[in-house]
Amino acid sequence: MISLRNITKIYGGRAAVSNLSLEVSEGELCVLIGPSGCGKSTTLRMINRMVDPDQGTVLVSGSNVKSLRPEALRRSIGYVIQSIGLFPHMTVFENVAVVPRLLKWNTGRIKDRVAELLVLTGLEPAIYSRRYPRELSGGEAQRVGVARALAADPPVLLMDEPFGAVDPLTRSKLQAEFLTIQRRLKKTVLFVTHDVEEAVRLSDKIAVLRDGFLIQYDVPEAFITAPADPFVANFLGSDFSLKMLSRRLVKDYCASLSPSESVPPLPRINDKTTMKEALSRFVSSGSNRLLVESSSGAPVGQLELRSLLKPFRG
Amino acid sequence: MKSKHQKSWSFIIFLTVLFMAVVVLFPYFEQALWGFSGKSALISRATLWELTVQHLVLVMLSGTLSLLAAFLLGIFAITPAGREFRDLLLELATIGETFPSVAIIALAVPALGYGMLPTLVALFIYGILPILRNIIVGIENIPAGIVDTAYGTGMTRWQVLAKIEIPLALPVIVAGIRTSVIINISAATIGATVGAGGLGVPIISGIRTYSPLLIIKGSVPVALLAILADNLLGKAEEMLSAWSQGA
Repeated sequence: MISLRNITKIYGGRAAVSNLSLEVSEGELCVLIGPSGCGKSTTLRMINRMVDPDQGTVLVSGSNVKSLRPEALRRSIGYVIQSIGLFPHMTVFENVAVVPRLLKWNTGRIKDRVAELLVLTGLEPAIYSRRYPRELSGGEAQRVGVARALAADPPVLLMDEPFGAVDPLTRSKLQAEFLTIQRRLKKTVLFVTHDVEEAVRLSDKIAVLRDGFLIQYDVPEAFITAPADPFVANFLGSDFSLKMLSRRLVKDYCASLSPSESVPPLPRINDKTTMKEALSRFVSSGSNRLLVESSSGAPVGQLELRSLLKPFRG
Repeated sequence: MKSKHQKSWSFIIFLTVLFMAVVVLFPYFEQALWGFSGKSALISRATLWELTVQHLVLVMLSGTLSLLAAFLLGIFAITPAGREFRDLLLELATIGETFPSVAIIALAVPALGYGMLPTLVALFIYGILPILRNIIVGIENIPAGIVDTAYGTGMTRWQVLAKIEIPLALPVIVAGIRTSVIINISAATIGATVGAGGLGVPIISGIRTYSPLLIIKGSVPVALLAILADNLLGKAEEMLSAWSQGA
């Protein structure tokens, strides 16, 4: 779906991106990660031609982006950046409607689409449509940013640290919501971050960059078993396996209770939380079993401490 | 550039009424002082009302032309082709503001003769500078993330300019227009020395004939006009700045 072939970009005599090749399949979420200045944002921006590579080719849906008008290309690619870039003089509705308007959709269609997207991103249209960006919280503004990127239903999304500017709690919530949306819409996403936890949580594949070079590109599990070099292992951190637990949900690891069994008096945990949070609960409660409950509070099973030890296969 | 206290509509209305009252009532006051054989009646044939209209025509005509020229130059200066001229234009704008308008008018006379034309040309050139500077600076100071996303959504250069950059820079641009207009309201009085008419006529005559009343007759309306324009455009600036921040 997205294919980068030997791309190089030179800024002021220094290569920001060096001979980088990367394939992202349709419906996959690929995270580009690396220290600041590693070229991840530049790589992202070469896909929608915000930056043109000095060498190499970029293919999106099989066509060379160079053969397309930048404006036409960009209207078919969703784009979200860290500062969100909501237009302060436009309402939420107008912000989300930007690309459909550029594509000259009729007003009825735009209205329906904007309402649909606001619902999708968890913003009640009746409340939010007419608000201005400055009347939104950081999390709400990010949701609008995502809604705007999705407006014309582009097959490809480019996201440059989209959740970088919000507090950790909101970020975690936004990540969970975005995952839900992504599982439903199956967009091809290229996602830039420097937050390992975020990469682990969201990605189908992770690409680690350093000084403009692609060091390792693989599924997250592979980074536990076979990091390419000490830099990669070091960058991902010695607690990488713990971070990996945030990819797993409690409900997938809990053993069901037999119907006759009475509800054991154990510390409780919600079935939608991650195994990482479960680990924390094990540590804080000192118990080696947890009672898993649904959001309504009904017990659905129990979680054993050793369920955390299920190996990751890369 | 932003004033600390908000401009109030009531003060603007008060200034307008005061200005009208001065223009309409001053001749009666003058008559009462001088009688029918008054000095001023001999010197200035045009009524104060006519002089005011002349003055406004000078300022508005030159102002409109300045605005158009400033927009063309400003938009040129932010294009890739015009980037080389950007610094030069900003430099010129700064130099131009320190250059006395009397000198521009004086220089225009040998080239264009007496009358309204040299004054118009001088005011036009003089009026471009503050607007041009604020267009360039206003557009350049828009947060990079907003402009980046605008391009990222697939807007063309012109769409970014029309839908994002100009609307967001509007308060700053209006601040430039405000400076330009206020400077030109006072600078236009000098036009009287080269026969352009306007409220400078009684001031110049008053200076020649040692008549404080005549000087007051011209200078009070000019001062009121400048204060009024300042408040009116200041109000516009406030409202636009609230609008561009989404209020």
